[in-house]
Amino acid sequence: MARTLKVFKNEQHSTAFFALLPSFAVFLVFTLYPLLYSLSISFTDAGLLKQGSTFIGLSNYVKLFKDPTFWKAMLNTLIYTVAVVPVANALSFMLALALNRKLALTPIYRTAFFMPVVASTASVATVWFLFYDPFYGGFNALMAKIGISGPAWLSDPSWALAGIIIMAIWKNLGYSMVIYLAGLQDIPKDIYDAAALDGAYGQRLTRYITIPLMGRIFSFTMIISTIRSFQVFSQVRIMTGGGPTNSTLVAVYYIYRQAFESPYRLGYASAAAWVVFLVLGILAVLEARTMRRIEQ
Amino acid sequence: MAEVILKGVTKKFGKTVAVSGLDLEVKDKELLVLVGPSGCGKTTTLRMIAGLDDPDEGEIFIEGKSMKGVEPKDRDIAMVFQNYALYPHMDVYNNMAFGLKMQKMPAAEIEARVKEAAKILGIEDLLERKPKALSGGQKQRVALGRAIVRKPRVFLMDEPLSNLDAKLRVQMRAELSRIHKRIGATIVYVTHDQTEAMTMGERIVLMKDGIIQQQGEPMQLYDDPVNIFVAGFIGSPSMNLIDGKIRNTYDGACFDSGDLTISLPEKRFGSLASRDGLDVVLGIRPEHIEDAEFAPMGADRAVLGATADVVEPMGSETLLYVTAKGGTQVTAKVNPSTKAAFGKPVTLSADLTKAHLFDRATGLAMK
Ligand SMILES: Nc1ncnc2c1ncn2[C@@H]1O[C@H](COP(=O)(O)OP(=O)(O)OP(=O)(O)O)[C@@H](O)[C@H]1O
Ligand SMILES: [Mg+2]
Repeated sequence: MARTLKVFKNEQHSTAFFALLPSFAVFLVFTLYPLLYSLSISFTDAGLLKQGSTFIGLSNYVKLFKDPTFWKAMLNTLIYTVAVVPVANALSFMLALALNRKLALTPIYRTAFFMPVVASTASVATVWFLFYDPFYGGFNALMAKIGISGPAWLSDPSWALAGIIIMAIWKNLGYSMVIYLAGLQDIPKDIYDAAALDGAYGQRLTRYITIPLMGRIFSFTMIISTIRSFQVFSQVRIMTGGGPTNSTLVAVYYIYRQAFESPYRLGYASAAAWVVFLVLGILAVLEARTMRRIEQ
Repeated sequence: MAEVILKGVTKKFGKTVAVSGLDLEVKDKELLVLVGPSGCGKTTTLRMIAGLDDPDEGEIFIEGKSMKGVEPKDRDIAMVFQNYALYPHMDVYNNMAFGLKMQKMPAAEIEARVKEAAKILGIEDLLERKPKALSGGQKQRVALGRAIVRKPRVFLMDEPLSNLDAKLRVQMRAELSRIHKRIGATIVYVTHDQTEAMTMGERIVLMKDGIIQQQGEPMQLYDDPVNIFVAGFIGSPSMNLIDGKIRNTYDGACFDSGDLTISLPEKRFGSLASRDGLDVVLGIRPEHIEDAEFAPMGADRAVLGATADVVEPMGSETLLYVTAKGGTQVTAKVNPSTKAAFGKPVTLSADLTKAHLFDRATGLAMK
C-alpha cells in the first residue's frame, strides 16, 4: 500500500485526500457534471421527450436574445432584485440594531423574525396567496381600515410583481438579520465604551462606529441576497404562475417553463440558464467591487 | 476644581465582589496611582468613575456633584483603556480626532491638538496607519494620545505604559508627569507595577480583593506598611518575611523562627514583654541587609550566616539570594564589591532599626 500511494507527500496528505473524497464525489456527480452537461446541451436541440440530439451551434443563444419574453423575465428579475435587496437589508439592519440588546423579549422577537426564513416557501406563498385575495384576504382588509382601497394585487398586472416583492421582503428579513446580529455582537464592547467617552451616542454612534465596522458584513449580505433574489422561483410558481400577462415572469421561472412545459426544449433552457448565470456573475463581481470601494 | 470622590462604592459581578466599600478621594490636579495585583478591582473602579459601569452601592462625586445618572459623555473624562480599544476602521489621526469632532471643534484646532499630541508621543509618522498596522506599544501611545487631545478635567489611565519597552516606558513616564504638571489635570493612574507606582504617584492607593489596604505618599507605604500584604507588595525585590515567635529573654525580647534568633531592639519595637509567645512575621527589606564586610558595626544589627544560591551583580549593587540556617530563604541587596560566590558561605548583617514586625494572626503591623 505504502508503495502504490507514493503520490502523496506524507501521511497527512493521504488522510486529507480520503477525508475529502466523499464530498468531492458528491460535488462531481451533482454539481460539476450537470453544470458541464447543461453547457454542452445548450449547443444542441436536446429535448426532454426526445431521443438523441443534434449540434446546432449558437442558434439557441441567438433565438434567446431575440425572444422578448426572455428579456421581460430578465427585467422583472432585475426589478425584483433592486427592490428586495436594499429594502430587505436596510430593514434587517434596523431590526438587528433594535434587537441587539438584552431585553426580556428579544429572544422571542428574534425567533419570530427568523421563522419565515426557515418556513418552506411553498407554504408561505400559499398563505400569502390567500392573504392577497382582494375580497376575502387580510391585506386589503387592513388597508381598508386606514381608508385605502387596495388593488387586486396578484391579478392586476401592475401590482402583481409588487405583491411578490412585498412578500419576499417579509420572508427574507430574518435571514440578513441573523447575520447582522452576529456581526453586531462581534464588535468589541470596549470600542463602544471608548466611543461613549468620546461623546458618540445614538445616531452618531451608529453612523461613525457601528456601520463602518459592519462594512464586511454588508458586502457579504448584499451579495448573498442578490444571488438569492436572482433565484426567485417558488413563490412565482405558486402565487401567479408568472402572470398576469407575464408581469411576474422571472428568469428561473422562464427557464423552468422552457424545460418542463411543452415543447420541453432542454437545450434552449440550458442556454437561458447559462445566460442568467453569467449576468448574475457579472452583477455580483461589480457589486463586490463597489462594496470594497465603499469600505475604504 | 476637578476632584473625584468615591463614597462607599461597591460593585459586584454575580457572586464576585470586584470592589467593596471603596472610599477614595482624588484631589484636584492630583496624580493618584491605583495599584494592586491582577483582579483587585482597579479597572472596575475606573469604569465606575467614567460612568461605563454603575456602582451597586455608594456614590461618586466629581467637582462635588453626584454622578448618579450622568452619562459618560457628560462627565468630561478621558480614559486610556487597558487593551487600547482603538477604532479599527479609523487611522491614527482620526482615532485621536474623533472625540474632538464629536464636540464639533473647528478642524484647524483639531489638527493642531492632534499634531501636538503625536509629537509628544513620538507617533507623528504613524498618523495615516490603521490600528492593525501598529505594534502594541504604538497602539498604546495612540490610546494615550486620544485621551490627551481631549484635555478633559479628569484622566483615567488603565496601565497605559504596560506594553512599552523599558526605555520607552521611562521616557513616557517622565512625559506623562510633565503633561500632568503642564495641563494640571486630575489623573487616576492604574498600574500593577509597584515601581511605576512609586515613581509616578503623588499619592498611592494600594488595593487587594476590591478593598483599599493603604493609601498615602509613596515613601509612607514603603516606610510604614500597615500590613503584611502592603509590606510584600511595595519595594523591589520584595521584603523578606520570616515566620516566628516572640520570646522574652533576660536581655530583652527576641524573634525566634526555630532556626534563627534575632534580638528585637527596644528603640524600634518598644517593649514586647507582654507579647511573649505571640506568632509574628519579621520583615526586613533586601536593601537593609548588607554583606557583613561592608556593614557598619552596631548594636542594632543582626549577623546572619548563610550560603549564597544566586549572585546577581546589577552594577550599582549586587543582589544575593541566600539560604540561612534551617533553610530560610533571604534576599539581600549588597555592596557590589562583595566576595559572595555561588555555593560559598557568606555573612550578612541586617539593620534591625529598619525591620518590621507583623502579628501573624491579623496580618497587621505591630507598633
Ligand atoms: N464584566 C465582568 N463580569 C464578571 N466579572 C468581572 C467583570 N469585570 C471584572 N470582573 C471581576 O471583578 C474583579 C476585578 O476585576 P478588574 O478588571 O477590576 O481587575 P483589575 O484590578 O483591573 O485587574 P488587572 O490588573 O488584571 O487588569 C475580577 O475578579 C474580575 O474577574
Ligand atoms: Mg484591569
